[in-house]
Amino acid sequence: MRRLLSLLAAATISVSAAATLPSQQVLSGTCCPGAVWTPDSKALLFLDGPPARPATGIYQVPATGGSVTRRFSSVAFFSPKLAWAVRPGNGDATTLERLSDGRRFTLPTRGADVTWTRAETRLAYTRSDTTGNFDRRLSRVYVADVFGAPRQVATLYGGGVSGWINDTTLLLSGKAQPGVRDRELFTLDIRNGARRTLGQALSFRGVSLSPDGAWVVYYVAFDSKARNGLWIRPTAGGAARKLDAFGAYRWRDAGRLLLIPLQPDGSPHVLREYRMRENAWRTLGDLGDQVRQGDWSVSPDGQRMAYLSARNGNVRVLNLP
Amino acid sequence: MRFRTLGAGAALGASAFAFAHYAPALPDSAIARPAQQFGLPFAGPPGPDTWMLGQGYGNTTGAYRQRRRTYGNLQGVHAGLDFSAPCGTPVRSIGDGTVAEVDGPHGSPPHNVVINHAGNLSSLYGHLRVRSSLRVGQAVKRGDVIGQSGDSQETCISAPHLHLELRDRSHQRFFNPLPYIRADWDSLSLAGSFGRGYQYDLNAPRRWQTPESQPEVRRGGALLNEFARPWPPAPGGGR
Ligand SMILES: [Zn+2]
Repeated sequence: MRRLLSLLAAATISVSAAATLPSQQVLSGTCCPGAVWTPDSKALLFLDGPPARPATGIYQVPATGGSVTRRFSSVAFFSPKLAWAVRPGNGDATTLERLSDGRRFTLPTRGADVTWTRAETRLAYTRSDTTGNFDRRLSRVYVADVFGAPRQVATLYGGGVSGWINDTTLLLSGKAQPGVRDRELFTLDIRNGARRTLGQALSFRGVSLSPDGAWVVYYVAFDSKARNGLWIRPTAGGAARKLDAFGAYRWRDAGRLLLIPLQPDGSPHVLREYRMRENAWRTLGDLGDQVRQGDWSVSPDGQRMAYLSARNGNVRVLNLP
Repeated sequence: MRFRTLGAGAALGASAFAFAHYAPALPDSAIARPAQQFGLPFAGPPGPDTWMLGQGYGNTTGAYRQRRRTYGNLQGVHAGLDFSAPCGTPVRSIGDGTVAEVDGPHGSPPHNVVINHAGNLSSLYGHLRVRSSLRVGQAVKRGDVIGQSGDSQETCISAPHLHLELRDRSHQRFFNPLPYIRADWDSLSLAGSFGRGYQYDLNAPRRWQTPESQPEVRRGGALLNEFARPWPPAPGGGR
């Protein structure tokens, strides 16, 4: 019994011994949800406007703090590399503008954003019915080259595009028929229509491709004990790994996944890191704070993390160990 | 770059049905102030086997898209909390009280329960799977099972969730439940959300962008989110 108690004590210490990671508040005045990193990882972009700032637009603050400047004078869906602004209209048509030269084309996305390939020369989008049961709604998936015409590549029920694995392969999830129970997670080669089913479940939630497209992480909930949980699997096919953790997750780079465990006991949020190659976890530390609204992001270079502080609703940045 | 459009899914269900209620709204002086006096409607920890917070209260993008149709009688706002859970999960009273209605006229089908609490507050539990076995007038304690969670689309695989509202006893006012319910809301918001954040009015982009600042709703009042410059755009302009 004494030995058991000492083991428990040791285990408790190893969990709670995570050091608090120092962070810096970079915005103030309850500002601002939804901040995203610039492609060079040096700054954060956020939507703001009156009365805090003179005009509505996309503003920028250095990751190390400092003065705020306006980066874009209009709000749009900007592509990850900031090469494109996607502006839905009131009807079907969405205008896509190349920011380097202002050249534009339109696509009938019906208000939806698009999913870009890494090179941002090709995109995909989903057009879904807006009525009916969520898991039975018809979705049509289209792809287009920039300045080109769209081409339908898939019809799904209760699903859509999850991302591009490479320039010619999409990751999708959905049902082939509206009446069946399970959705499929599958890859689709848009050149020849070849499909590869990666898994089946009631629903694939939080689907996120690794930066190199080689792995996909997702979770399954309320299906069966065997299926529920957080999963990582290779997009080229092969066995999935069920991770012995659950919570909010983001890719740090192609080999590392960050996770904040779902542990609603009022304690500061803890940052853990899963290394794909070692199939092992380490605890990076705690925030000494909580993330508000699940709002956190990792810089593209994997060096820093930004989050919305639960303490005062402002964005903070920390260097990842 | 996707400002506030991360995640998938959409608003699930509502309790906004245009039944007439002519009782006057109770004044602030008659209503208990928020003091974390209630508990969560599920027992045990959240997770992929049990339950998770699905959609918050307020000016969500999902509610905005359906502001005229589904939420038209609730000023265009999601006037409750959605908790995802498998059908049949025991739903618990958030506080001591008395059963006021079983399948009463307050929407959130297929089945609902209303419990009256101290301070002229009422809680509504919506989208229950089957009719609750409780009787009107019966006393309940906080944590007592009052029904089973169901699915707003009645398949148990489409959108299984509980819709929970906190109202004044006259059913005219709808309150943000967060300051009334003791829970680690920031942690519960980490995983499970099927929402996409809050709808922006680009003329005042910080308004109603935090969980605790969401507006109270009056039944039948004017839409709060008929914004001149909404963001993100609703596909097809919203309904
Ligand atoms: Zn709801």
